[in-house]
Amino acid sequence: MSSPRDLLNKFGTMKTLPHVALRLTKLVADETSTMQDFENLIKIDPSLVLRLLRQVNSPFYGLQDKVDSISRAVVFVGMKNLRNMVVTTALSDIFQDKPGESFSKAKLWFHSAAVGICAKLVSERIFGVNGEDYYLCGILHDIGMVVEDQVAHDEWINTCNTFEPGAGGFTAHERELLGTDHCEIGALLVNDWGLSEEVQVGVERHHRINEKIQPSSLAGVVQISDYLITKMGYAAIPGVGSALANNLVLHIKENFAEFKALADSLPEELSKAEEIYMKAEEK
Amino acid sequence: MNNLDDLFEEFADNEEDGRKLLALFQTYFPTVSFQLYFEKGTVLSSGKVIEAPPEIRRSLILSAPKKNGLIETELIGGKSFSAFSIKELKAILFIGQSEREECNEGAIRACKSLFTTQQALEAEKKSKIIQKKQILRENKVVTEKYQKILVDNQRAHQQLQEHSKLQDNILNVATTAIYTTDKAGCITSVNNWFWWLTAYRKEEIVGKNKNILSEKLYTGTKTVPFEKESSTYKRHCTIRTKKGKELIVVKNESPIFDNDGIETNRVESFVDVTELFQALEVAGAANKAKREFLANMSHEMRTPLNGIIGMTELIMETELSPDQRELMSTINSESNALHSIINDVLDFSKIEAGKVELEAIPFDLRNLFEEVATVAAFRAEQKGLEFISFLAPDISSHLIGDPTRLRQVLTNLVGNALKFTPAGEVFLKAEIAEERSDVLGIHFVVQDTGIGIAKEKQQHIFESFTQADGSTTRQFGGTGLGTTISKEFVSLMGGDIEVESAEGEGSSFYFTIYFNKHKGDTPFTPTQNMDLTGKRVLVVDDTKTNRVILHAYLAYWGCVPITAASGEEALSLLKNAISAGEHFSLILSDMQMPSMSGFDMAVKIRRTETLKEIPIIVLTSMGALGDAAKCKDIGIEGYLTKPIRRDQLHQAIVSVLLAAEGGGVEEGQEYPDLLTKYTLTDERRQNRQILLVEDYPTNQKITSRHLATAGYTVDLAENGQIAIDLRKGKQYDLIFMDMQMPVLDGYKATAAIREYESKLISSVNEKLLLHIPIVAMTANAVEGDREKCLKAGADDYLAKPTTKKNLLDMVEKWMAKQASLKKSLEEEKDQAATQTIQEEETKPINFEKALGEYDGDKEFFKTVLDGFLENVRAQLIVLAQAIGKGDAEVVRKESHSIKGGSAILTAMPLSETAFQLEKIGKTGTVTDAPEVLDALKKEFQRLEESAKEFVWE
Repeated sequence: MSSPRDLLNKFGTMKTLPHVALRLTKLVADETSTMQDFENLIKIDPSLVLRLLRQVNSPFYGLQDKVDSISRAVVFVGMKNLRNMVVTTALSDIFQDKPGESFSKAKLWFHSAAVGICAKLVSERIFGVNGEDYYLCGILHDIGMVVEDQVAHDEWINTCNTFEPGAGGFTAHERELLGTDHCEIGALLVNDWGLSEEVQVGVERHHRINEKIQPSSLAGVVQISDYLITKMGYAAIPGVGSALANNLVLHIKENFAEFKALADSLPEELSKAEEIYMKAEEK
Repeated sequence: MNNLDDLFEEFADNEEDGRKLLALFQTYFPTVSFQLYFEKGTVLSSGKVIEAPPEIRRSLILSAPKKNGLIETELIGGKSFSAFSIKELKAILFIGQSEREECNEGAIRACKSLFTTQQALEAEKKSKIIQKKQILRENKVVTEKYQKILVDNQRAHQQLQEHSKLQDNILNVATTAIYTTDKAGCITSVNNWFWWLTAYRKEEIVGKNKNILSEKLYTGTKTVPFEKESSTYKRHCTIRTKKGKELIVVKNESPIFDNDGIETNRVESFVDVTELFQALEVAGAANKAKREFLANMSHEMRTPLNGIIGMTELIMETELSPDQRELMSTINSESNALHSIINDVLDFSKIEAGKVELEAIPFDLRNLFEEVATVAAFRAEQKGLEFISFLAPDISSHLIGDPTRLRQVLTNLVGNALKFTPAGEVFLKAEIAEERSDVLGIHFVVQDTGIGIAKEKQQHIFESFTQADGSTTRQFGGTGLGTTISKEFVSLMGGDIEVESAEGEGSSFYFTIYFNKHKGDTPFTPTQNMDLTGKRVLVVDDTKTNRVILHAYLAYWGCVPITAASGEEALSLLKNAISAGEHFSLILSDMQMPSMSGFDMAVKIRRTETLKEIPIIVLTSMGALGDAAKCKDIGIEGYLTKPIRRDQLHQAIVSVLLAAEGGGVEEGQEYPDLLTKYTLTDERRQNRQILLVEDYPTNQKITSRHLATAGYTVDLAENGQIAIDLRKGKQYDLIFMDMQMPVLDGYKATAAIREYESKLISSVNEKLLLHIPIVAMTANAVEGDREKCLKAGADDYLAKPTTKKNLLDMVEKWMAKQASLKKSLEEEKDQAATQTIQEEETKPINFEKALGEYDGDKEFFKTVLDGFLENVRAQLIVLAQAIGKGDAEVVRKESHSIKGGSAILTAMPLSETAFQLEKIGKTGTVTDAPEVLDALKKEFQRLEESAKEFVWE
């Protein structure tokens, strides 16, 4: 049995957000930072420059002229999006599968990325708010599992294998066997990485189904997205389902047509986003 | 992916759809009763409800989902009931009708199909509307994002503008003219101060080439060199203002590079230093006057001081009462102190004026080093300190540099070390730091066990007029300039004096200087030579440093040195060696050692049967009177005073070993006289003739007295003309020439003497022999004086006033040089002679040459020759006996001895024959010896006859 901090301390020595990502998250949080600051920072990492320009010039943005300067690219992409790109890159690295592992981090990564994309769609299309933080929260919501797998591997695998649906759900099962759960760990890690408190709270509460969750909050949108993506067959852990807080169920019922319409365009959006977020890493 | 419809099944509102379905059915079958039974238990009805018996209703509803189609009952009281599963709604449609009605399966299917189609159409329409709404929302978000970015950009732009405005302001309020130029040199922007200095307005100069400023490098009085900065060019130059006025400016020029590192622009700036420079020039002139005054004053003070010092030294050589001696000695030391202060001030004023120029002349570092050591050892002895000097034997000492300044630095550092060391030792050391083909880096160290210097004061000791502590000056005396001067000299020589020290733990000053090697000069060769390789030498000294140095010297000559730290240890080593069958060739022992002195040890050795044959040389740092006599009494072969000069030590060892080899053979032959430092030099002084050219009576008296006291014969000339005349009549060994004299000055006289000599000579060798070394003496402390003297034909230079020691050192130096020069010339001649010996008729002896060796002193030569002949006569008997006994070793030794002696006397035929006999001796058999012995006897007779025939008067 360990506290989330114990697990995280062990993890901390292994993985951290890259220097550029940490600096970038600070720049995003700082009101007085300028484009020049961003440009100077991005220049440090040539692979980041490449990715940035590739994204700006992808059909997703549909720009007529090719963008080839960093500052112009940052203008188009936006600071938060830029931060998301950097974090995504860093995470895709952390989520890398090692051969012969029984727990598939690659599946978890696909799940996380899909939840991130879905959360962005829900926030922007249904609630009409900027979805960058939602994306970030979505892509990070299960990061705690990676920590568990990394530092308490056997216990973690055991937790996954012995889970049976019902009763308190997966998080209760985690707490029973590991002493903590991936929401708690994830929230601490997000805090350590200097990301906003909203994102931290979103990660922490994405499995709270016995509380009243504001539907348009990060936790609400991520919980809904997690539910939908799992339903679509992209579960974080195969065989482990997902549940919704009551007020969220009510919310979906009340706005059924909205969610149905969104779900209709989800597959297309996923594959479109996949091009930007996933393939960019492979190239 | 799963069916998207399933995704939301749990959220779908089926009752609403159910109502629509019922309404549709009611439209077509108004009189039929329809009910919808949902899976979750709710029921919807439309029209008038025809009640069915409960068991029939339950049976129909349960069976309907299993059948794909309508399931119905028989007529029950004129009514029929049927059920139909509507999967889309998760409900069962329950139908009740009278027999007149015709709501059969076909009708129901058609109706349901119609409903599904209507539903789908409606749902799609609705979805499209919602999706459109969602896209609009998304667009709104994106627009907001861009607006945010725009705001950010605007803010950044504003910041940039403010920043740029601030920079403009900074540039314009700066009291430096700043302007930028493009690649072509056109001015692209200027600041306010530029206009203020040059009178060019921004509008009239931007776009013009910077040539308009007529920039030129400033070539006025010496300027301070600029420190190198990364890419900024800094220089003094002049520029012309619009009004034609010339300004002296300090100008900076920095290139600006683009991202690819290509220079695009330049930022140039300057400050006006015209007034500053004018002020500097005024100050410089005043300073110059002050410096010249200082130099003149120092010089004026040195001349009378010279008289005081010289006279004092003379008085001290006369009979004096102890009180008088004490007083005179005080006057002497005070005058010397004053003299060195004046010298320091003079040096310092030269350094301050930047007027010190280093010489680059060939010199022998070993001589220089040993001179410094000799003086230091004397002072150390007076103070009861141990002084140790070590010049690494592998240093090739013929270098090019400034020996005077180097000597001054070493003397100063060593002097300070002695001054600030109350007890213990002072160590002067020089080692190779780096050697390249023509350059030698030498690391000098002066280390003491003195009072040390506190960390915080170390940096100040090199500052002018500063000793470590103000109170130091009062306690230890001195101007405190010595270290500053040394630092400057070393720095001029390309080094840097550094200090390591801790209070109470002594100090260590060190620096490294690179010298060019002097080529073409023959390295030092001892006058008597012998291969010392493999000789086992026991070194006995209680001071480790001395052991290390002696070890290094001995090892360098190929000896096998074994060291002992005390007499006791040495004795036990010797005894062990004897029992192990090992033999020591020589013992080198310190005199003053605790518990057992060098004497005591020597006495013990002489009394031990197995050891008494080993030659002993004792080294002493206190030449107490009577020591030499004591040494001779107990049979010590050599006696040398510390500091040991390397060549002296070598010579002493060679002499002692040669004597030991030669001796012991013939009974009754005595060891040569006890070898001392003095025997090595004193003999040579006999018959050395020196010409002193000097007009000033006080100097005449002092100098000639000093020379005569030291054993030299001195002739005096009052002016240059007399000197030339005297020279023509006599071959002097050395001339001291004062340069400032009435009638004919020293420069002209020197030139005349050289001209005279050049007329006499007919060969290179003769030139060398006829060339009398002239040492110029001047009281001018002016830079370049030395060069002037050398140019006039002088060989060396001695600044007046001089002390007895400096004077005699100078004589020694040139006597030694002349001797070794002559010797090498003779050797060359001998070689040539050996080659041609068979061709020409050989005289038994070359009297002219031999006499030359003895400077024409026939009387002395005769004494030597007679002694030699007598020796050989005895040796011939020994040889005959040895040949009779078949003792080849004695034959070798004796003939070797005859060979050497006769060669020195230029009796070459005898030497040749002796050499042949020596070779026979070396073979170990004497079979062929009698024949050669006869030849040897014949040659000897010839020599004897020639000696008799020679006109000795």
